[in-house]
Amino acid sequence: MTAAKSKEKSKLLPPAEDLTQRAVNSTTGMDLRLSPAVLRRLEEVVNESRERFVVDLAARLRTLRASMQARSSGQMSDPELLTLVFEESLQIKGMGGTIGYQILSMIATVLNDFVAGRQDLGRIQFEILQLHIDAMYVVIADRITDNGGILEDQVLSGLRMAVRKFG
Amino acid sequence: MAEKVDFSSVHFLIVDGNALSADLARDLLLTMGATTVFVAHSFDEGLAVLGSDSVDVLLTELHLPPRNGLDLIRAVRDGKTKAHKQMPILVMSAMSAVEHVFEARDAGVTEFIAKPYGVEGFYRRMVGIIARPRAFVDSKDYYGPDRRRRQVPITGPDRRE
Repeated sequence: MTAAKSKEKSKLLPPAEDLTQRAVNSTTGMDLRLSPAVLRRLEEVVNESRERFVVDLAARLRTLRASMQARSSGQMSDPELLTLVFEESLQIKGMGGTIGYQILSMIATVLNDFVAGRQDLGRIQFEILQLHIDAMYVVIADRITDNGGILEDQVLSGLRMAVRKFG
Repeated sequence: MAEKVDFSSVHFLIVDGNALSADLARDLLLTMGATTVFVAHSFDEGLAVLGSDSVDVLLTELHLPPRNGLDLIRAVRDGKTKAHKQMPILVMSAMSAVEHVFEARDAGVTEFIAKPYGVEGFYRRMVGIIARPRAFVDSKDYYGPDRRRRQVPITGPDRRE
């Protein structure tokens, strides 16, 4: 092999052990395997932040509704609305399931995929946005946690079908 | 005797534009025993902390408009911050489509956790990136953790030293 070819080879560097040596020991700290007691404490942390999350999620949904109205009355352009819906649906997707509202994250995921890369909205696409926002509103207002029930499953299927057909 | 991770000896930086998400990650780390957790809400704030403070582990969102979490990862891997080039980096992002995961992997991320996440996955990854550091690859086009997760026989030419 030539020297030039040898220089092109990737180098495999050993793992950096300094952080591991500093933090890993046999006396103090957390077990490598999550214990039931620690799991309970971590879940309590999530529970304690749940109400703040719900308030924030409701505010985001109000923003979305107001923006839909602004677009209807010509005060907001399609690209502006789509940018806002992309941002808010991404945040709602990330937050919902973390505090137990998995169904909210699922609806927000469908909505986020629907608006990603989109530049304009026809009447039907606008209505699809509206349906997603209304569905998320109901989830928060009625505090529908986890994956919801049969009705929520049907709503989610309907939204996915609408996106497939008109997206 | 069973191994433990002492999170109090690790300095964390969380970069997330969503204040509630950042606060939750911070509170989880504090509950796990961490004592030093920096929080930044933008790319610029995160870069400033990486340039001035001692950070051992970076947790970052990918969506950091107008910039990008990938740029933050590349800054660390390219040695443009004070942080160790091989520092563990965990991406926590709702941008979890496969193309985003691949982009993060190719930028040199250590682990990826999709939002929404559960506390068990969070704990497992935090323990893993500290207790089981990965080998690094240094090549013309890539500097980051070895992207091969499994040992399989090489069928083509071996391009590594």
